[in-house]
Amino acid sequence: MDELDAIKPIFFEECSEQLVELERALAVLESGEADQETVNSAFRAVHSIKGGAGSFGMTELVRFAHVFETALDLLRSNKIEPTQEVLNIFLRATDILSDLTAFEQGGEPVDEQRQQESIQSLEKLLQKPEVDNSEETEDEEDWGLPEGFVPVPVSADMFSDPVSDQTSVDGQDDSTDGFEIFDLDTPPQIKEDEEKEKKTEKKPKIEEKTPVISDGKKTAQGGRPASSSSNAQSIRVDVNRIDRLMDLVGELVIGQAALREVFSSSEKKHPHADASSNDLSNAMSSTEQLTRDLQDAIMAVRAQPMRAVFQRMQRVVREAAHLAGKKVHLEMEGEDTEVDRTLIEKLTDPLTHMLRNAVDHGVEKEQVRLEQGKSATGTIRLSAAHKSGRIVITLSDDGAGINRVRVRDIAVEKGIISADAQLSDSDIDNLIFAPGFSTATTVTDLSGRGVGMDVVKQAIQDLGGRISITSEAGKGSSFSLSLPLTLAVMDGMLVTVAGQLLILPVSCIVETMQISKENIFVSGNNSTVICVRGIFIPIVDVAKSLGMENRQGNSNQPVILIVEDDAGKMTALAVNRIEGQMQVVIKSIEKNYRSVRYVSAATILGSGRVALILDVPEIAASAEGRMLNMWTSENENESSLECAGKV
Amino acid sequence: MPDSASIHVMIVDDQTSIRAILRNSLAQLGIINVSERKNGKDALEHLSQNSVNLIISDFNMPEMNGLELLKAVRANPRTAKTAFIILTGEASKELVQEAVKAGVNNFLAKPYTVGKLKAAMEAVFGTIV
Repeated sequence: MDELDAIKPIFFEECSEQLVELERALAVLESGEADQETVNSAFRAVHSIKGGAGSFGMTELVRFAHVFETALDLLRSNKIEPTQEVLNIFLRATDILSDLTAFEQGGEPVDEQRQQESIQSLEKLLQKPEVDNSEETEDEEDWGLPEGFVPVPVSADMFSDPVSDQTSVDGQDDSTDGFEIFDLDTPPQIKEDEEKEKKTEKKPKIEEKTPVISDGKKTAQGGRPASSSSNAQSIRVDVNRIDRLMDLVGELVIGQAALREVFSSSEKKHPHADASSNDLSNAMSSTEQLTRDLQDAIMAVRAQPMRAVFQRMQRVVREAAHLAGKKVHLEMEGEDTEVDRTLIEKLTDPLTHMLRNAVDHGVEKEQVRLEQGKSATGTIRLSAAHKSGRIVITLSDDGAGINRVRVRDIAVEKGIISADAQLSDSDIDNLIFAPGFSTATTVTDLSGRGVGMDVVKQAIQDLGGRISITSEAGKGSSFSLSLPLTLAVMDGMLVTVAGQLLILPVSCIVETMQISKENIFVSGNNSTVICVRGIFIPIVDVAKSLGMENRQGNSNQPVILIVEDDAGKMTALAVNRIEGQMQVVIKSIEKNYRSVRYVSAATILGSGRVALILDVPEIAASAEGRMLNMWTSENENESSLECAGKV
Repeated sequence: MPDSASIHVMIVDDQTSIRAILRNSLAQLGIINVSERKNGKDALEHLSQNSVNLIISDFNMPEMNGLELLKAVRANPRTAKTAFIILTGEASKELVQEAVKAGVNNFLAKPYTVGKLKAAMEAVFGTIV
């Protein structure tokens, strides 16, 4: 049936919503703060999936959902307690249910053994309570009408006018309470209720004096009633159409920049601006603001809460913990943080992998934890938040932390670093992102899937994001992912460096200043630092880093842009001049040319020129490396760098 | 003996897909005057402004379930005589009995065929032409 095929995608979308709801309800039950409605919603989720699956003839899904639903019904009717053991069975069943729906959508077949195990454990629950459910279960199985029920016909004359026919005036008995006023030509019949029902047989007709709302009647009489209004709150739109809108906004931004450029150059030629030029400027400003609003509005259309990804992670952790024989609890925060839907899709795999790693390599076995005075259950925290125009996702565990000795040994063994390399703790931690690095001594079912953290890092970078790690031995590790809210447009700071125009994302700039040479300190290895309010910040000469000859380099007062990374580490970037701020459309340089060091993308300026967008974190990290050398090789200089008195 | 064009149906179910399927099935029976609501509360709101001949409602819905809706429909003199069919995959005896007491006209078990839907409606209305 073609129509049914068209409805299927809606059903599958609902299934995933129901599964999220089911996960949520079970999580609440686990926390012990569940009320009756929580149990109801879990039941309803499975029930809805079953109902829909039945309509599409997905027998396997119906069969499983039925057993699951029957078991949940025991919980609903308080015949079983939501103990951890019971909840674990339900959680497993949720996984199978999710797999079965995925299979119906053309996914991988479900592991038969696991499905059987799950069915058996659910059926075991069904046998537990003293009440015999066998009969009830059979009743439900045949989908038949309840025994003894006779359908209740209504008088056919009501169809001449659906409203006025209900208005029969009798006026003898006005006692109308509850269902008893219901006038039936034949009373409903259920054998045991027959006696009682007889009483209703002689009920008087309803007195109906309420006037009919005329427009209501009109709607009912009209060809098609106001049926579509129920769907008015949401519509489904092809993502490609929204992408097209986003592209167009990008072009609009470029077009506006060009307009602004033409305007400023004509203003320079005719400096004595009259009123009309002022008006023009104002009109341009307001259209620029509208474009920005339009862009935000389109982004809001694409935005979805992180919840969809996060809820899936519960399962990932559950399964990983089960396989590793560890006790792990996943805490989540910021599920309502909204991000672009493309990000949501692309974050699932990296996050899955990172969580598996955290369970596998981070959290220790129960006994080890107890020996170290930790709680038996390890905790992994996953959180998402907006931070200065980016989304920051952190994933931390309270496990063993990075085993630096081992990581170093492996890196040497695999030829990633030389045996005598001088590395800081943070350098060693970052080795886990090196291509080909994997500390798993044996390939387990978990992390040893042929991809390492390098793949994760690459995936995050492809999204314009960054990943960093901090770790403390015995206390755990923490990963921080920072991603742009959109991959299309950003606010840029236009600067000149050695005669070239470059763009820096405004979001990472903390402060700009002109600084005199007295505040610049040259330290060993030719590295320089500035002192800002008593804090030393390493300087990166952007021109030098990019290999450009800085003809204006002798300037006594370079402009300093202080940038901050997600960990709060500051770096000072020295440039020649700040030109202004503007919205820029991000164009991939990798796709159009090739990947260039310290450059993350390019953009087209209003003049039509291409300007490069600096990869600020990467260029800042280059300073970090030099700083490191400075502190390690010239440690004795440290004491001479007293700057408090000079500021 | 109503003809299909004169029947106004309100479908009440929290699942969009189920509503779409039911609408589709009704269309096959020639019934095109169909409105949809996603729970009992929304359904009552619709009824306060519109009249329908038949309500086909799910049992288990958030906000207000099918049984509560049935009771409310019967309690309002203006809608008390509206035919009410419960569409359900969950036929626990207590619920069914309560529904019968509250004055349900018929049941339709999920999953259903168009034939079964027709039979369930005809048991209430007589032959639909």
